[in-house]
Amino acid sequence: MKRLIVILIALFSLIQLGTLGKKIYALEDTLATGELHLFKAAPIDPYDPFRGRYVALSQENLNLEVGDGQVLRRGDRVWVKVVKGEDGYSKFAGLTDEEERASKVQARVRYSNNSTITIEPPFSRFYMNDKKAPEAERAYRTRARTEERDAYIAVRLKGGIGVIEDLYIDGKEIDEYLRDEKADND
Amino acid sequence: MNSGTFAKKLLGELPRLVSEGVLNEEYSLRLKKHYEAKALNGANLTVLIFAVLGALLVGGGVILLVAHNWEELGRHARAGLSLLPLLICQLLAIWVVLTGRREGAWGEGVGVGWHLATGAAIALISQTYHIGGTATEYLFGWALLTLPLTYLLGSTASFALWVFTWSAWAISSIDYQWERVWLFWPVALLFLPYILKVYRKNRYGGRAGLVSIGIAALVGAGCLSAHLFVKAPMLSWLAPLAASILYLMGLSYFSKAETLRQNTLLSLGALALAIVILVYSYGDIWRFVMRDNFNNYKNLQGMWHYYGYANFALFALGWALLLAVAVRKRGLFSLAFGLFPAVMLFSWVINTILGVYMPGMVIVNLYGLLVGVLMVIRAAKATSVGGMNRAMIFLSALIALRFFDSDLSILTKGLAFIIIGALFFAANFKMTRKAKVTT
Repeated sequence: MKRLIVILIALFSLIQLGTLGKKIYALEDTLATGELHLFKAAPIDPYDPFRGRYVALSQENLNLEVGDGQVLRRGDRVWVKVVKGEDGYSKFAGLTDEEERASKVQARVRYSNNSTITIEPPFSRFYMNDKKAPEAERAYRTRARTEERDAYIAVRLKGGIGVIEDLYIDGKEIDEYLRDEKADND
Repeated sequence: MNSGTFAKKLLGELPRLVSEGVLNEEYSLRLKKHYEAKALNGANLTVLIFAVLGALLVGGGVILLVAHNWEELGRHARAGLSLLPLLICQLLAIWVVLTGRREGAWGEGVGVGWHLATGAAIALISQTYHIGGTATEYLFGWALLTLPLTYLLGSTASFALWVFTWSAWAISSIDYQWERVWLFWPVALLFLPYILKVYRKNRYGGRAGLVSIGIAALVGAGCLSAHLFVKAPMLSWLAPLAASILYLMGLSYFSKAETLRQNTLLSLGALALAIVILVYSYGDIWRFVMRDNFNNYKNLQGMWHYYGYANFALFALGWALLLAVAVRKRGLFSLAFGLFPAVMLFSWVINTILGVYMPGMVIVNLYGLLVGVLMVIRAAKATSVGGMNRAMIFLSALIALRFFDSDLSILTKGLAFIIIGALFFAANFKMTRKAKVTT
C-alpha cells in the first residue's frame, strides 16, 4: 500500500510539473521565436491578491464585426486575427478560427450585439515590482497630461500564443524610463 | 473545556485524589485507562492544528514573496523558482509516506503546503510571463491541479483548502467561466468516499468537524453560484433548502454528539435557518419572491439555464430525502426547523392564490414563533441553559424585528423590549436553579 501511494504521488507530481513545465516551454518558445508585434497601450496600476502588482493594459480596435449567422455571447472565447499597420503598430483585424495560419490570438467577448462584439484586451496585464508599478502609472499619467501619450507593448505571437516582451514609454523600456525619470528628478 | 483538556487535567489530579483517600487505586487505574486515550487525542489534535497553521503561514508567506515580483532575478531563474516550492512539497510528501507519517500532523502540514505551493507556482508563472486572465480562471486551474492531494496524503486540511478554492471558483465564475459551472457538483462528489471515510472513523472528532465545514462551504457555494448565474431570485428558494439540508444531515447522522462543536452541520444549519426565517419574516422579501418566478429563467443563455434548474432539482431532492430520513430516525418533534422549505412553498401557494404577499409573511412569522416555542420546551426538558438562551435569542430577534417593522409608538416598543429582557432573565434564572436541583 505504501509503495502504491508513493508511486501515485510520483505520478501526480510528474503530471503537475509536466503541465506547468509545458506551459513554461510554450511561453519561452513564443518569446524566442514568435513574431514581434507592437500594440498601443494605456497603463493603469491595480493589484492581484495572488500574483501581485501589475500594470493593467488595454489595446485599441477591440470592436469587431461578427459574421452572418454567427451568435456570440458574453464570455465566449474567440480567435482574433492580428495584422501589422502602416504606422508600425499591430491591430486586431476581425474574427478568425483556430485553423488560421496568420498571426492570431485568443480573446473573450466582453459585450455582444447582433452584428458586432467588443473583446476583452488579450494582453491585459504587465506584472511589475510592487514599488515600480505605481511609479510607472504615475509617470505615464503625468506625461499624458502635458504631452501626447506614447506607450506601447512589444508582444511575441506564435501559434495563437501571445507573450508580452516589455512595456515601452517614449520608446524606452519601462525600467529604463523610470531610471531616467528618477535621475531627472534628482 | 474540551474532552482532551479535561482528560489531561483529570489524569494530573489522580495521584493527589488517591493520596488524599478520595479515590482508591482500582478506580484510579480505571479512570486512567479510560481517559488516557482522550488525552492523547487532544494532544494529537493540538499538534495537528499547529502543523496546519504552520503550513498555512509558510505557504501564505511564499505567496506574498511571489507577489513581490523579483525582477532582478531574471525570467529564467523566476520560471525555475516557481516550481521549486512545489518540488520540495512533492518530495516531502514521498518522505511523509515512506516514514509512516501520512494521515498525521506531517501529512496535514505537507498537504497544506503542497496546495499553497501549487497556487504559488501558477501565480509565479502568470507573473513572469505577464499572462492575463481573471482570478476565476486562476482558481479553476489551481483547484484542478490539487484535486488528488486529499487522497494522496489523507489530509483533511488539504480537503478543506480544496473545497474553499473550488467554492470560490464557483461563486466567482459569473466572471467568464459559466460554461464550466456544470462541473461544480460532479467534481465535488469525487470527495464523497473521503468524507464517508472520515465520518466512519470518528464522526465527532476534529477532522470530521473540518469536513463538515467543507460540506457547508460546498452547499453554500452551490446555492450562491446558482443565484449568481441565473441573476434571478432562485436564491429565495435555494437558501432555505441549503440551510435545511445542513440541519437535517446534522440531525439524522450526528445524533450522539455531546456538544454543538461535535455537530457542526446541525449548528451551522440551525444558524443559517434562523437567519433565513428572520429574513423571510419581512414583508418586503415576499414582494421580491412573488414578483419573479421560474419563467424568468427561460431567456437565459446556455449553461446558466440548465445549471440553475439542475441545481434547484438537486437541492429539492436532497432536502426531501433527508427530511424522510429525519422523520424515520428522529420523529416529528425534531422536524420543526427542517420543514421550513415546505412552509415557504405553502406560503407561496397561498400568496399566489390570493394575489398578495401578506399571507406568506404572516405564515413565516407564525412558523418562527412556533419553532421558537418548541425550542424553549425542548431546552427546558433537557435542562439546557445554552439551548434555552439560543431559543430566547431567536424568539427575541423575531419579536424585536416585528416591533421595529411596525408603526407602534416608541413607548410601546420600549415596554416590549423590557418585557423580552425580563423574560430572558426569568428563563435563565429558572434554568440555572433547575440545573442546580438536578445536580
